[in-house]
Formats: sequence, structure tokens, C-alpha cells
Amino acid sequence: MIEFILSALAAIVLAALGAMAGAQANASAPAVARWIVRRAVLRLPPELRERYTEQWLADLQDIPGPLAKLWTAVGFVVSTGALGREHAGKQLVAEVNPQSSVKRGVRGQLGYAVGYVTGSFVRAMSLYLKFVERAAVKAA
Amino acid sequence: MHEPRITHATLKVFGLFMRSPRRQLSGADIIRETKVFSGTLYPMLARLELAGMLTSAWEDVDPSEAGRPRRRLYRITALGQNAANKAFREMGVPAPGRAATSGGRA
Repeated sequence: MIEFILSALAAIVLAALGAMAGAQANASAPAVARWIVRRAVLRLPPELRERYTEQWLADLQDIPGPLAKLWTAVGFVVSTGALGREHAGKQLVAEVNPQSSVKRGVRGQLGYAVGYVTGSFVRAMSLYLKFVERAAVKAA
Repeated sequence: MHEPRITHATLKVFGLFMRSPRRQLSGADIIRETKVFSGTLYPMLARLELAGMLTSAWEDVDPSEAGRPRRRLYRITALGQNAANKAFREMGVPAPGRAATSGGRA
């Protein structure tokens, strides 16, 4: 009987701690997202930083949901490399051409494989975060 | 000037603008309506803007009065509309009509 009561108490305490941690994470997500924006713009050329800081902070405010804000902020980090190249007047790397893989060396193939795996991971994370957010909305 | 490549995500964004070409849309509006990942969207917007297919301007508000940062608003140009129509034709997809939608600013 004592064991049952202790187990029940432990479950209640753990559930409460989990709920508190979830609420804390939800509350702090927008601040974390803003912090990510301020870090991300440092990867941009200096002349673009002010513009994208203001633009991205405004856009973040309009994105609903803490997880979506975080995911959007992660996207800002991802976009910084391409943005820097675009504004430097360089064309982005062309879409993968089936023939181009023939011309790639071993390092090129490895780079392509790493990019493919990373892209797949990012897409999987995107789906997972959407699933978690929907579940959280349903639970609320 | 290089012609920007037209990807599936670009078509989604073109489609959104073409539904009402006079609408001004922020990045957040576009993300909400097209679900394009922000890591893909902003380089695309920069590419289309550099190619003259989109223009952008700051929202006409005072950030200190509004209590928030200004939005950067994008609008499709005539060149962009032509490019979008051409892209939809080549894909064999009808260009979106001018239906009213919820987001964006006239």
C-alpha cells in the first residue's frame, strides 16, 4: 500500500514538474527566438544586419505559437549564408543536375551526401515540431 | 542579371502574390500562407527582389509609437507577374485568380 501511494505521489510530482518545464519552455521560446535572430544577423554582411534584425524581429512577432517562432528563427540562421551570397551578387548554386554528380569528386559526393542527410533531418524535425505543436494545442 | 531559378517554393510564393498582385505581404504573411520554410524563403525573396520581380519597403509606422519593429512588405512587380505567368504556363498549371485572401495589406 505504501509503495502504491509513493508511486502515485512520484507520478504526480513528475507530472507537475513536466507541466512546469513545458510552461517555462513555452514562455521562454519567444525570447530564445529573438536571441537566435540577434545571433543569426551576425553571420550576415554588416550592411544587411540592421535591415534583417528589424525585419526578422517583426516577422517573428507575427508568427503564432512558441515552437513555430523557434523553428522560424532556426530558418533565419539557415538563410544567412545564401542571403550573404545573394547580396554579394553571386548566383546561388544551381539546383542539383543529375549530370553534375558525375563531375563531382569524392569530396563533392561527400558534401552532397552530408547536405542531403542534413536536409532530411531538418525536414523530419519540421514535421516533428508541427506534430508536437498540434498535440500541445489539442491538450490545451 | 541572372534569371532566378523557379522552384516549387518559388511557385507557391508567386501563386500567393498573383492571387492579388497589389497586396503587400510580410515574410510572416508568406510563411503563414504558403508554409515555406523561413530558411528557404528569405534568400528567395532576396533573389526575386534583386531580379526586379519583387519590390520591398518598410511599413509606414513609427516603431516607438507602435511598440514593435517595422515590417518589411513585399509586392510583386509587372516583371514578376510576367515571370509568374510564364512559370505557371510552363508548368501547365493555371495561374491563380485574384481572389481575396485573409492576410496581407492592400
